[in-house]
Amino acid sequence: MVDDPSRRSFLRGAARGLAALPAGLLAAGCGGNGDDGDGFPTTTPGRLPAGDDGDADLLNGALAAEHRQVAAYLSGLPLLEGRALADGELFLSHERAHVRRLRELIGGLGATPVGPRPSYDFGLPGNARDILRALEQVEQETIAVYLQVVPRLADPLLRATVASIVACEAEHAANLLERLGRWPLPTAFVTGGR
Amino acid sequence: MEGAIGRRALLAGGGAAALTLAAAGAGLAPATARAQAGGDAAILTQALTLEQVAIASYGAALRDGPVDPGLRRLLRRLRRQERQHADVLASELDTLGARAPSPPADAAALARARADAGLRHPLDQLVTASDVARFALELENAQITLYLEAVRELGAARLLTLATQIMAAEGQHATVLRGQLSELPEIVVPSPFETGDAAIP
Repeated sequence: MVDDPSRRSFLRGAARGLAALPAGLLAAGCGGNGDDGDGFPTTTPGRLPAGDDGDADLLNGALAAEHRQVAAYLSGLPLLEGRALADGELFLSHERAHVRRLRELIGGLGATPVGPRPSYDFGLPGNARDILRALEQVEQETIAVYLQVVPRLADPLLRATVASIVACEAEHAANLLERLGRWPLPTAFVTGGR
Repeated sequence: MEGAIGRRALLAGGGAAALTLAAAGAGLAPATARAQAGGDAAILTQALTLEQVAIASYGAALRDGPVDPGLRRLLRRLRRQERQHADVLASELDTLGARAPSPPADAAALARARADAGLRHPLDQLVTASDVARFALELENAQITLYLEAVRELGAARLLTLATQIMAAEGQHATVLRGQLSELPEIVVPSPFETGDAAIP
């Protein structure tokens, strides 16, 4: 979390690392897409926040993870270049599409979509490689959340939508691994590192 | 989607295992639970059948296709992961009391199974490495579509998680194969929602 003024100005200044986002920047990144939901969850990365386990609640847990991913890409993109930057920009557009879809689904269930948190702590990556590694980690943590959501969703169509997002996140992770010079298909079962 | 008829045919084949299971489980479990378990077994049988087709297809491509060392390494990894999927699916079928289908016994059986699954890329027309990548991508797309259906239809939570994990792995296979055919990010990861119906580049 960002508390001290010097760190805050560092973050506002040049987005030199995948650290955390000041509220204004985060709002610019997500709010432009209508991400103005009420409140925000207190999530642990890779964990689904506690709730009543209804479909809307489960989707809100997934939406919280997506907000975190949007913040991660927004924060990390300024340090990327070339093919990694092109990938990152595309993947950010995908995360925003996931946010839009989840918001629609949650609204359709008569519930209120959660909004993004004021800030996220991703540590202090210092170079492009650190950024890619951190983005891959965030993708894995999001997959882990979705894998907790899928089997608990009652609506089969919602399950299919969420599974199609999981596969997309897994593809992001594979490509990020490849950019890191690592084997993109490490396991036969995508578990989000769990 | 082009593989839909083939998958229906596979499902019809899997129904035999499901019926066996339902009969074996009669008496103790409530009727709805039996029906759900039978449905799950049919879906797993369908998935295992396609995994077996993938394993045999990759084997044929590795044996007869124009594959350089890099592509060979990739296809071997894909085949190994499909085998891991097949092993787990067979184990789950066993747990459900259903019998696993037999893999294609020879080239003719594989050709029939591929046709049943709606796969169109002929094994005997792999001339270039790109042909092999497209051939493999068709397989992966068919599997993604099948697992997407499975996630809709399965009843047991454990199996829903398993199907999602495998579907995501097939998505990773697909994106790596698309990367063999293009360097454009929007081709390599074409959609925020992976449903197995992306055009083959």
